[in-house]
Amino acid sequence: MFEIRNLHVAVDGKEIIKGFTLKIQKGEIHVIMGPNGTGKSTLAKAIAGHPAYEILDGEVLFDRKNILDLSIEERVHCGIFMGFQYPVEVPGVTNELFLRTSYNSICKTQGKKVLSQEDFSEYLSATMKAMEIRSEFKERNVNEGFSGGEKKRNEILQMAILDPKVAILDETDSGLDIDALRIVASGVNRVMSSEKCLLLITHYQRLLDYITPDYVHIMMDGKIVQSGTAGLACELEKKGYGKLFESEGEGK
Amino acid sequence: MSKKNVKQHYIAEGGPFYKSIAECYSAVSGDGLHKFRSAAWKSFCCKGLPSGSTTEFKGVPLRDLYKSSYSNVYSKEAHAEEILDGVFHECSDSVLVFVDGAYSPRLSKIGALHEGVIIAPLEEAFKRYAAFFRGHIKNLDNEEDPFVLLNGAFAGDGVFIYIPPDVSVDVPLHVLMTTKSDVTMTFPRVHLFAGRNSSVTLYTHTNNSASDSFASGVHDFVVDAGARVHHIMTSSKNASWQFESVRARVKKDGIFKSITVVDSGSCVRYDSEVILEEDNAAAYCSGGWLLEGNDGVYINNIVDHRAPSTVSRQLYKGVCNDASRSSFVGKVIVGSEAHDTDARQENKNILLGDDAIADIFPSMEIFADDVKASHGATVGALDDEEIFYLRSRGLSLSEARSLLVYGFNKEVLDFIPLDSLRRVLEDKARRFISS
Repeated sequence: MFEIRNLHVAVDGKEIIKGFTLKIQKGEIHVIMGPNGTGKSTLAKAIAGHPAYEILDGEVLFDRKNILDLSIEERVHCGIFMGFQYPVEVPGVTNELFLRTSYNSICKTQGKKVLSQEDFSEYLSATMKAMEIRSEFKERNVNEGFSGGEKKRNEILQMAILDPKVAILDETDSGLDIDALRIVASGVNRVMSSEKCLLLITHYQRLLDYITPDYVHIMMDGKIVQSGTAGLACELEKKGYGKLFESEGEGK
Repeated sequence: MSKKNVKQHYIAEGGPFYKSIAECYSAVSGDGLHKFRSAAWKSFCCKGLPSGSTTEFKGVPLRDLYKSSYSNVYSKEAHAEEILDGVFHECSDSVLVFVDGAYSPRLSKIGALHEGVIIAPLEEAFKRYAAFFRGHIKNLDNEEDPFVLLNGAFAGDGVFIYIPPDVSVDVPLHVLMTTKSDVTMTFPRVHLFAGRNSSVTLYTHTNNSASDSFASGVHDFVVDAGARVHHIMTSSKNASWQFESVRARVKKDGIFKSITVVDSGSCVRYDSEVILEEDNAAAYCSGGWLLEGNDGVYINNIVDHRAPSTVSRQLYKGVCNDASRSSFVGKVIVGSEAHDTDARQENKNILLGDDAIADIFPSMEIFADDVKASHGATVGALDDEEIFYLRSRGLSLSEARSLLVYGFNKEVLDFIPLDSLRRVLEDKARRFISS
C-alpha cells in the first residue's frame, strides 16, 4: 500500500537519506527508531514535500502512484498525513477555522460533500470529546502559546479529523507526560484500522506500551540497518544503539 | 523648467490644485463660521501645500494631486433609500449622512439616540453653543497640517455631536460619507464632545462613487474625564484622494480608541494626533490595510503624552500586494510632566508583491523619567514554514496564503466592536488573495 524505494534526500547539498527502503501493507504499524542525526525527520519532511529537501533518487509509492511527483497538498488529498515534531504556530487563525478549511479542501478534491460551519463544528466537538481534548482548543489560534504536549495533541486531533489512509508521525511522543502520551496513543489507535497504515518515528520504547507495532526498524546514517518485531524496541531500550550493534557484531 | 522649479510650481499658487481651491474658497459665502474659516485659510496660506519630501507626507504622491483641479460641487439628487442601503442593522436608526462633504439632516436617521444627545449642523452649533465652543473646542492656532487647515477653511457643512455626562450611547453612531459628484473636492468635518463618564462608539465610513475626487476630512474629539470614545474608520474601494485627519484630546481617566481599516483605495492618507492631556488618560490606536494594484495608504500617527501615568498603544498592520505602497510614520512624545508613561508602538508589514513597498518611520521623543516606551517594526514576506504547514494539511498555496493574510489581519480586526462590520472585513481578508 505504501512503499519507499531506494530514497536519497539531500539538504543544502548534503545527502542525508541514503537509499531508504520500506514497505508497509494495509493494517500494519511500523516504527522507525534511531539515534539523533540519522535522518528520521528528514525522511518525514521529504515525504511531506518540504521544498528545502531535495530528492536525489528513489520513489515513494502510495497505491502504486509515486507521490514525489505531486504537490504538498496533493499528497494530503491522496490520504497521507504527516504529524510534525515541531508544529508551527499560525497566529490569528483558530484551530476550528484551520481544521474546517483543511477538511473541506480535502473533501473538495475527493469529490465529497463539504461541511457547513455548524456541521463541522459538531463533528469537531464530538471528535474532541472522544479524544479527551478540552473544548477551548477550538477557539485557540493554531498552536499559538501551546505547550509542547498540547501541540502534539493538536497534531493527533488533526489526524483524527482528516482521517488519512497513511499516517506518518514524527516523534509525536517526545515531550509528553504519561497522561498526554495515553491520549495521543488512544488517538492513534482510534484512527488506525485494517484499511490504513501507520509509520511512527520515535526515540523511546514507551509509546509502544500503548501502541503495538508489527515491525520495528532501526535507522542509522540515512537508511534502515536492522528490522524486527516489537521485541527489537525492547532490546534497544535495554542496550542502547551502541551496545546493540556491538553485540550484533559479536554475533557475526 | 528645472526639476526644482516644477515642484515649486505645483506647490505654489500657480499650480492647478492650488488654483482650484483658491477659486472655491473665494466662492464660499460668509456665514456663522466665517471667523473660524478665515483664520484657518490665513494659516493655510502661510504654510502652503506640503511637499512629498516631508516625513509626515512620506510617499504620498502629492505631485500628482497638485496637477489636478477640483470644484466644490454638491449633489442635489441624493436619495435616502439609495444611500442608506447596506447600513448595518446595529446602526439603522443612528446614522448621520454626509453627501459630497456636507452633513444632511434630511437624510440622517437618529431615532435610536439617547435623550440629551445633541446632533446639530456645525454652523448652527457654532451659533447656538458659542460659549461652549469657545471653552471646549480649540481653534486651529497650533495646527501644523495644511490639509487640516484647508478643511477648517471650508468648514460649515460639518456636524457637531454632544454626548452628555454619564450617558452611554448603546448603539453605534454611524457617520456615512458619500461622494457622488465627479471632480469634486469635499471637506467633511465632525466634532464630537464626549461628556464626563460618557461612552460612545462612532463608526465613520466613506463610500465614494465618484470617479475622481479629493476629500480632506477632519474628526475632532474631546474625551472628557472618565469618558470612553471608540472610533472606527473604514472606506470602500475608490479611485480618489482621501485624506482623513483625527484630532483627539483626552482628559483624566478618559480612553480614546481608534481603529482604521483600509481594504483598498488609490490614495488614502490617515493622519492622527492624540493628546493625553490629564492623568491616566489612554489612547489605543490601531489600523490594518490590505492593498493591491497601485493602492497607497499613508499613516501619520502621533500620540502626545502630556500628563503622568498616561498609556498609549499603537498597532498598525499592513499587507501590500502587487505594486501597492504604504508608509507608517509613528511618533510618541512623552513630555517632561508625563512620568510613569507606558507607551508601545508596533508596525508590522507583509509584502506579497515584488514591487510592493512599505516605509516605516518610528520615532520617540522622551523628556520624562520613569517611562516605559518601546517600538517595533517588521517588513517581510509570508513565512515559508507556515505556508508549508498549511499545505501539509491539504490547503492549496493560494488558500494557505489567504488564511495567513487573514490571520495576520485578524489581530487588528478583533478591536472592532461592531460585529456586522467585523464579519464583513474578516470575509474580505479571507478572500484577499484569491480576489
